Amino acid sequence: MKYLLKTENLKKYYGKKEVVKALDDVSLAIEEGKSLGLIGESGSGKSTLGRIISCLEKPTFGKISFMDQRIDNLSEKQFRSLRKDMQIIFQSSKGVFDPTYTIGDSIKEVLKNFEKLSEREYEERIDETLKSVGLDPDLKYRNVNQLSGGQCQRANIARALILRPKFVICDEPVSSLDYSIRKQILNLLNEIKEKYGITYLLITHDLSNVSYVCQAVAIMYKGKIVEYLDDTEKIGEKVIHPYSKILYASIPKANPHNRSIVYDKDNERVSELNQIIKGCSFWDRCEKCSEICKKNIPDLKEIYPGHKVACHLV
Amino acid sequence: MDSQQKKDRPKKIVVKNLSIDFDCEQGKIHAVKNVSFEILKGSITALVGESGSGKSVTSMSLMGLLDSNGKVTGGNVFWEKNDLLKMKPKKRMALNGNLFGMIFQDPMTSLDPLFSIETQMVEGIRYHSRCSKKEAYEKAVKNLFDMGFDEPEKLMKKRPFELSGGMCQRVMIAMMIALEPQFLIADEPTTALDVTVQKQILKKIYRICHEKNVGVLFITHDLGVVGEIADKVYIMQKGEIVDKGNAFDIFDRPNHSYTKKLIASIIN
Repeated sequence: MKYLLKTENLKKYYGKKEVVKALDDVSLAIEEGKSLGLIGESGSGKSTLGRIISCLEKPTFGKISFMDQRIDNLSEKQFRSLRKDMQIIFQSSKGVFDPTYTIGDSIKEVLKNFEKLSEREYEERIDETLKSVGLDPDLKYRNVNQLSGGQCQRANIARALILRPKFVICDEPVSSLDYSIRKQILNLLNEIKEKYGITYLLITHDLSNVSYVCQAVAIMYKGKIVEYLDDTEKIGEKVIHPYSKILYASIPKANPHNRSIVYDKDNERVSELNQIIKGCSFWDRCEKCSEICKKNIPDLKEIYPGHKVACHLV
Repeated sequence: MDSQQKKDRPKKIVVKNLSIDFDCEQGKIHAVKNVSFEILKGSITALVGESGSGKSVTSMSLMGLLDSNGKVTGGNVFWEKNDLLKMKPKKRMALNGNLFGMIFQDPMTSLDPLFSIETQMVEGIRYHSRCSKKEAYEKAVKNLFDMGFDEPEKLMKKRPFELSGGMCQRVMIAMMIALEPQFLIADEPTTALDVTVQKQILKKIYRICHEKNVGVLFITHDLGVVGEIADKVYIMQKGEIVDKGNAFDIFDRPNHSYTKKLIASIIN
C-alpha cells in the first residue's frame, strides 16, 4: 500500500533532562486520500506531533517519511522543495497574517516563494483561490483586522491552498470560531478536499469534527496513540479503549431528551498533581484497571483489521 | 393560604427592557436592545448567541462591571423590589459575591499568578463575609474538597500556573460557592476546556444549582452544552432576544429562523 506520510517510533522529549515526554513512540501511517483525525485533550501531544510532521521541530528520535522520502533529517533548505506539498492551517487565524500587510500581499508572498509568474498571473491566481474558499476577491485589499473571524479563517485556508499542496495539516482549524461558522468551514474543507485531492491531518479536541471530515481517526493520550480506527462512521459505538469511551461519552448531545452528562454519578476526584505513572498511562483514571496495567506499558495491537488498541484488557 | 403560596414561589431576578450603549469613536453602538429575561433560583437559564451578540455585556451589566464607555440607557433589573441599576455604586458592589457570583471564561487569567490559591481564596472569602482567617481557610478547604480535590491543603499551596485549566476553573467555582451567592453567572465557563473536563464542570454547576438552590445564568455559544443542562433558553442575536422557551421547546419546535439555523449547524 502506498503511504503519503509515515512516522515510525517518533519521540519528542522536552526539558534539560528530557523529562517531559510530549511524544512517546508514535507510529502512524496516512494513506493518500484518507484524511486522518487526531484527537486528544490538551497536553496529549497532538499539536507537537503536527509540528514535528511539518518539520517545524525536530524529533528526539524516530523516522518520518513523506512521499517515500525521509524528511526528519533534512535541513530547512533541503526541505523547501517539499514544503510546497505540505501546508499548515493554524488555529489562530488572526495571528497568521501580518497586520501591516493586506491579505492579498500576504498570500502573494507565499506564492512568490515557490513560483515565478508574472504580476498579472499572481493576481489571477489569488483571485481564483479566494473565490474557491468562498471569499470575495476584493477582500485581498483589506488588512487582517478588517475581516471577521470566519472570513479570516477562510483567508487562512486560501493561503494554505494557493500552492496546491497534497497534504494539509489543520491544527484546530475551527476551535476559535463560533458555533454557527464552524460547520461552514468544515464544509469548505470537505469541498476543497474533493476538488484538489488533498489529504488532511486534522488535529482537534472536538470529536464531532472528525467524522465529518476524516476517514480514519487516532486518539492520543499523554503522548501515545491509544486507539486507531480505519473508519469514522459511528466511532462512538466502535471504540474500545476506556479513554476513548470516556471521550465519546463527554460530547454534549444537543438534545435535552437524552441528557446523560449531568445525571451521571459525580464521583470523579482530582488527586496528586503531575504524578509520574509507571505502566499504562491511563490506569489512574481507568475503571477496569488491574495489576498488569500498573506494571507494563501496553502495545498498540491490531484486534480487528484496521482497528488498533493499546490496552491490556482487550 | 395566599401568603403561603407567595412564599413558595421561587425567587428570581427580573431583567426588563434592558438597553446598553457603548460610546465609540464611530459613534454610539447599541450593544443590547430591549432585552428582558428572568433568572429563577434553583434552575439554569441559558443565554445563547454568537460572539458580538451582546450576551456577555448583558451579564456584565448585571454585575455592574461594564466598561467606562458602556452605559445602561434603559430598563430595570429587579431583585426583591429593588432595582439594581438604580442603586448607589457602593451598595451595588456589596451585592457582588453575596447575591451574584461570577465564573469567567478564562480560568487562568481570573486568578493572579503571583499569589497562592490559599491567599486568593481566603482574601476573597474575607472580603465578602466577616470571618477570621482560620474560618475562611476552613471554608476554602471544605469547598475545594466538594469540587473534587482530594488534598485541598496541598492544592492551596500551589499557584495558578501549576494547575491545569480544568483545575483552575474548579478553584474559581469553589471560590464563588464559598461565598454562598444566590445567583451564579457563568460566562462561557467551559469554552476553553476539553470535553472530558467540560463534562465534569457541567456536572458541578448542575449539582450546585439543584442542591444549593442557586440560580444559574449560563452564557454560551455551544448549543450542545445548552441541550445538556439548561432549563430555560434565551437566544440572542445582534443585541436582541429573538427566541425563548424551555429547552425542550427550543430543540423540538424552533420557531425563529435564527434558532433553526443554529440547530442546523450542530455537527453530529
